Amino acid sequence: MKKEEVVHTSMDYIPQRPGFPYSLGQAMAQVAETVQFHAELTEQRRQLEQTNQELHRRNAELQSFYHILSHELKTPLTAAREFVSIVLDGLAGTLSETQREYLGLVKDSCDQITLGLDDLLDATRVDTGKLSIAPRPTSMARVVSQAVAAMDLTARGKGVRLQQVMASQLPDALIDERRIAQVLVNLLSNALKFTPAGGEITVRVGDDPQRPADIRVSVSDTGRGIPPAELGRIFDQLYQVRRDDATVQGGLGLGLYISQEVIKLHGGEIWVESTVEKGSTFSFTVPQYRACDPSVHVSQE
Amino acid sequence: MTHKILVVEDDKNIALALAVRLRAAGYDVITAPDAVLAVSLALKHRPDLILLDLLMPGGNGFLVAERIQDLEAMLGVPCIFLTASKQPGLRDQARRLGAAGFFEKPYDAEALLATIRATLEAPADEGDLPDAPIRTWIIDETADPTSIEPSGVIA
Repeated sequence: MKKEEVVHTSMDYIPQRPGFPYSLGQAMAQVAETVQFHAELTEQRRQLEQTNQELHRRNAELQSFYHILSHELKTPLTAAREFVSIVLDGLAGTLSETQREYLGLVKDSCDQITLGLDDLLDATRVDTGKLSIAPRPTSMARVVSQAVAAMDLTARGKGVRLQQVMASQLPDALIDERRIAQVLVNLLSNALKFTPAGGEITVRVGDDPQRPADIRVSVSDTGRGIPPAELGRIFDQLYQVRRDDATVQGGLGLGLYISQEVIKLHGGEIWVESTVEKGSTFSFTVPQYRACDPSVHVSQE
Repeated sequence: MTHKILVVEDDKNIALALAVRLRAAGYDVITAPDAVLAVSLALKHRPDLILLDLLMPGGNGFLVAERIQDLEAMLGVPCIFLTASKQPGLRDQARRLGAAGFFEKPYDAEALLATIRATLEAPADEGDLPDAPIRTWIIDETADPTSIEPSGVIA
């Protein structure tokens, strides 16, 4: 308890600096205060540790809850989507064109719910550090072509021209194909969402001039662009909720947050350049696959 | 000969939807709502293929598949798994079990039917793979309807 030796002289009665004891009574009071302070600190620390543990437990619970939520919502969704498909496929009688069109919209809506639920799960995985990738040597040109083909019908429906520009002789990339496809579909859906009819979306794939060991993919649109003040925040989780103008754009706003994490896990970078009223370009890099690189471990099937 | 498919699925709407699809494709369908009935119906009807949900009352689909495949009469019957769960590792677990397919719900019926058709038409490799409990190739197809992944065969 009493660690310091206090020597009293006549100088004791002259305050030397604030907080310095100048009498035995004051010294004792200060020791008592220090002891009390330490006790409080220890108690606060214990409480913080307890709270931290509690938060970790809640986080784990919340993640399990999201898994259950997603499972429980997807089960009836599966039945709904499949019965609509059964009717659409003519297994329950002939349909008029209008009926076919409306049921097609129901099916699309089911797919949107599925995407939303998957994003929700992925976002909680990012939060708890559980999102993981399994990279394999993959043709980036093929992954991009498939993503473009998948979005082409939607683009046509909106009157937006969707095109791809590929560098010739592109080396393979070391990527988790499923996850990179998710990033591409996400960037393309965003571009489609903000590009008016008559606009253009271009996907470019080629070498990265700054990082020769990487492949760069960019998605440019001729949409309304992003104001400079927003640029720094659009990869944030909950960006959609925190927007100042509060106009609802559809979607949970988790896509870019998840995409950023997926690209980070690949050791790449993702960024955006934009001019208001001109359009935006989202770019990302992923590593090239080098067969001779001993640092690269490729998991085998 | 009409192939017989056992559908093990606890959600009765999904079970019905699967039965409608499979019957329309010309298969005989038996449905079991839980793990226990699945085993006894498998023994009784000797299906050519089993379609299994993973999370069911009374046991998970992997256990049911192992239990059924342990039965002498059911040796080598191919299993295709369906799940609405996004728990990581399920696909790999199915692969290790030698599943003929793994689909996420909501599934793409066309891809599912293609996998079933390919599995039933594939010649049994009894001479070549004496140690393989069941056909050891997998059609890896995510049922995510927006997936851009084509169905492909993974070794």
